[in-house]
Amino acid sequence: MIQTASVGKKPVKRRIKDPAGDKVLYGIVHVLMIVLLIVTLYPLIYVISASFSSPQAVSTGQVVLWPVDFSLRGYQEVFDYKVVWIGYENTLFYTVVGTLVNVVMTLCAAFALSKKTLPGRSFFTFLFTFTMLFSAGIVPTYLNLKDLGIVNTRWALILPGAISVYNMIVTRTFIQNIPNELSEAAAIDGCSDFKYFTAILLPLSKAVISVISLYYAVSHWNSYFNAMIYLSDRDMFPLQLFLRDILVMNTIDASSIMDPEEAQAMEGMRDLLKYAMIVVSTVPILMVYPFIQKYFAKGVMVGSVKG
Amino acid sequence: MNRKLLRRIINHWQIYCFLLLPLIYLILFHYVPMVGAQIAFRKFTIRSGIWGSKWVGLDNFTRFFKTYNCWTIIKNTITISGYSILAGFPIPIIFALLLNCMRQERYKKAIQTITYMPHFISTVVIVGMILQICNPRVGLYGTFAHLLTGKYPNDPLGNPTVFTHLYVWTGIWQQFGWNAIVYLAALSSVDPQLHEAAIIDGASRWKRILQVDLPCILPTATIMLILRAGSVMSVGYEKIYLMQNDLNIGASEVISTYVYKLGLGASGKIPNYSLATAIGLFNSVVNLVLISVVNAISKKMSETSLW
Amino acid sequence: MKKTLAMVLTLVMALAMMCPALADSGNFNPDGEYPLLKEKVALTVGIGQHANVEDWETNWQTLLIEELANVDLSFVTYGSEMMSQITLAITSEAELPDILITNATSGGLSLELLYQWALAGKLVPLNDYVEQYGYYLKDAIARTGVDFLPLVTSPDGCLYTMPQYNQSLTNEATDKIWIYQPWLDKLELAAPTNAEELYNVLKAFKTLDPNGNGEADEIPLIASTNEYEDSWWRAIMNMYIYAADEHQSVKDGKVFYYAATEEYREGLKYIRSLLDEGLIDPMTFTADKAQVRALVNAEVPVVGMTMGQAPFGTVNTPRIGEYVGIEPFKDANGVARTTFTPSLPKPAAMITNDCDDPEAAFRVLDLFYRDDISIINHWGEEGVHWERAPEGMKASMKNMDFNASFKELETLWGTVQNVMWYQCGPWAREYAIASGRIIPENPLTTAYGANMIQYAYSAAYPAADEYIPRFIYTEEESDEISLMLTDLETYIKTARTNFMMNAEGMDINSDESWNNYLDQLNVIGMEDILKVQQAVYDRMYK
Repeated sequence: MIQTASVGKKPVKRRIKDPAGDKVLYGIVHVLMIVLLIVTLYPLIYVISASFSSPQAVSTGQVVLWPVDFSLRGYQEVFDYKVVWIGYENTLFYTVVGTLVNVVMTLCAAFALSKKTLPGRSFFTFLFTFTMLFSAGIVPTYLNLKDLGIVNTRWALILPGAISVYNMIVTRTFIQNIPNELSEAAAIDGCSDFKYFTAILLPLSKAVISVISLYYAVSHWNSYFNAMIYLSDRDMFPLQLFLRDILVMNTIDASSIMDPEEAQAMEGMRDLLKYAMIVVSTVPILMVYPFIQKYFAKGVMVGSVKG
Repeated sequence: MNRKLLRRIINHWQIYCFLLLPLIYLILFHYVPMVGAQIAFRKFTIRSGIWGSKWVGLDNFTRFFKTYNCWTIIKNTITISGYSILAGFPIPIIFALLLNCMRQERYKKAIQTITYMPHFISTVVIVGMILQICNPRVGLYGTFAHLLTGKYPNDPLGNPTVFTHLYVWTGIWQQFGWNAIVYLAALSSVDPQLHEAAIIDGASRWKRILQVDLPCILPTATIMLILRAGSVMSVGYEKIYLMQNDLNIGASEVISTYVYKLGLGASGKIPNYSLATAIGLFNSVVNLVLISVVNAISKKMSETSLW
Repeated sequence: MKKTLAMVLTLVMALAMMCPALADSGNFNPDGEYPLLKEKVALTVGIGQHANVEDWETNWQTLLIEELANVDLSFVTYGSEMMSQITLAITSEAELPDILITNATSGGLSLELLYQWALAGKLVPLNDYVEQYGYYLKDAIARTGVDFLPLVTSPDGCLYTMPQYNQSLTNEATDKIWIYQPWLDKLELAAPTNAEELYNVLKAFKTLDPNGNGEADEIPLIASTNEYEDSWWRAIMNMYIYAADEHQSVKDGKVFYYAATEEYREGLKYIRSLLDEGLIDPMTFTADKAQVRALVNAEVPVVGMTMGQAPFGTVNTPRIGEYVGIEPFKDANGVARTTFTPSLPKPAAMITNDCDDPEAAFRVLDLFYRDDISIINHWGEEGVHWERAPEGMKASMKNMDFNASFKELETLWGTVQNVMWYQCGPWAREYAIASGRIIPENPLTTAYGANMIQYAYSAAYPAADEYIPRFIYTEEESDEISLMLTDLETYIKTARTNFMMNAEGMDINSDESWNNYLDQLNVIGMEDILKVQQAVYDRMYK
């Protein structure tokens, strides 16, 4: 009996045995995956263990795999640290609104540039790619945003990065992979470009929309540079900016510290908050991926093109 | 000829509509400020602003090339970048192909989710872990070496050659899962009928990977490679800066860390915007040349190209 | 009638314009009386977000200042790149807050950048204000015994900032030498006092197994150069030549780089020989602080000697009292020397020309220099978090005569708190405060160890004409040498490490290698730099 195609359903029991070569392949793959799993799992376990250990254990390098001197103090401190909540709110806003803007703009641009018959296509693509390579530098960019009136506003974190050319190219590549017959058939049926975009293209592009949404969302979630340069109001700071303050708190001005106890106290607080804050600031975005994974299901294209 | 062109343009009016907003964004946020990049050719001071600063032509560039370790810096940047591409480019592809051929869905999903997580851990934490593991006395490396040879080994981080290897492979370790997402998404749109046909033809799993999966993601991979070629000069500074020390600086000083030390990032010093912009321009030109070359080669060899 | 009225009004206005001081002191109460301002003034303060301060607006110290001065402070918070943000704001001609406080941000503001802001016309010169209204500031200068304002005055002669200034004896000698006393006791050795004895003691640590576990795992000497400390070698180099804080030294009025002298080479040769025999651990150059701390606190003690302000990594660990400070090493002539890092003022607060009432702003900032407020700024509320020491009590500084100044009741430092400004803003504290602080002896603190040995280091400082506190460059000078200076500093540092480790072909014992190094120094521009620095030195200190 022949193995039937599984379209997102549970695999049907195999009746034909795998050829020997396949068995070897699967064996190797399995071993490789286990090794990779261990190797990538280690940093995660380390961070989680460190966040549950006492700061002295962490700063004396005792934490290697499991928590040493189990303590919840790190988390207590983080949740008492009021700015964390301000940061969370802001980051959520920037991520959701930002990603929305990103995906809409990127899809429009990628769709337009995917049409091989578009006059000037090469020129426009080059226009986009050029900005990926050349940037004006921090002073002109700042002056420009000031002239546009968005310095020290939330838009300074959303508009300047509205399209990542890299992501746009990825999207364009995916769209170009959709068989031409589809658009030709649609054209014959009298379908306008707008209709094609909404009725046909979007549903078929779930995989790439998921990917770039993830890319953009993660980029917003982790970003701090624009906030660092353009914002001067604490109520708008994203979470990463506060986290960075703590992590990078190491340029201690030696002459104004009274004694090493105090220098140590500052480091101690940094170590205490560091890992807990990393866990607290990373876990939410990690949860996004499983949700979009389902869009990677096989068989998205099945039956779209007959013959 | 012109009338035909005009007709084509009019036919594509809807496509141009899609392109309109992204184009406005591009001009407003990227091309308008580029005029200010001329501070690379001026001696910028705060009180004179961009237009009032004295014009010095290529002075900033010659100043950069006169730095005593200028060529070492450039060489290091290219070495680290090139090595990263050579080693790091194929691995996510191979990983995606192998993972994709696994049949146990839940296992597969778990591996996907876990392998992409190191990408989220901040550089500061990753480098802290690297230093800890490589410690020749109390780290994993040192303890193993001591067990095997009875002696404590030399510190790997004090060795310039080892630095480059360590930097590249830890980068791969951190990023391969994340980078594979694009390829996994591409693989999810492989038409299962192609696989069915191959099975009927008696192809083994391995052959199917080579003949069905690989060609499917080749366009995506090619575009990725071209894009990568456009960032050869842009090795990020943060991780290198944290892994740098006086002993490995011969291999670890790259353009971005040099610019950082010039005062753009180090608080308080007078930021030398002119020099930083000049170096940035130099980087961009080199990147542009590289990406154009790779793009042209790709155009000749396959149908895929950026523009 | 109308004409007369007009004339009278004009006369009054003319008089008012000719006496601005008179016109303004209308809002000020006499010195020493509170509140400082008769009518409330609103001021905006630009300050960096600080991880240890919960909320500038509701902070207890803020409320105290507002009450004492009768002022309403509102805060504009910048992120960790405040200096860049202000620079960019000035370039784009945006409006700035009335007061800028730059020492809340790690790294702070450099004098060069301050001068650039001033040249752009955004800062108010404060010289006259200091004369007329600097009541508490003048008192601070008297308390500390040092007129610290010239050291933060810009090359055009104007003072643009109200600085922070901390006098602390223990901070001035940061290269203290610490040795593990139990090992000295076990091996019946005396603390080393010069190069030869140092060699012998380190050798004994390495070969005689003082920790008694049968393994040759002792690390005679280790330090950590990661992050901001790179001065461990100075304690040893001082036996050959005075290792100044920056690389420039001065002798008989002539500025020179001691990193280009023969004596420096001798010192490096000696250090190389120690490294060669494994008496100094190479991990000094690569390990980060957590790792060195792990070694210092290992179950079975392995570290014999460390350098630094305090025994490295022993804070809050059982090993605190076991590392004992020893006197600085003596050179071949029996003279002990240690690197002197003078207490220097740093820019802290500025008044911008967007401020409508700079005199009022100045008076508010001046209040920070009141002696108790300078203490509050670090330790919190008097009576709650700290209290003054009883009369007549002596401080614990050994062999040095200081009265006890105050005692900490509850520690705020290192926590997220809302009581004080965490040393941000202007302030000044004299030696007596730092040196007179009552230090708990039980359990021991590292400050205690430093206090026990400070006298020996204070006696080993160079003479006033043998060190350079600070260079203040004019714009032209800065233009000429700043890039060369960065390159030179980096090269000297890298070369020193390579010579010590005999890496990258730099062999200290080879004349050719050494000459190449000297040549390279000149290629980078050492001579040009020295010319400029000599001019600055002559201008400032002769």
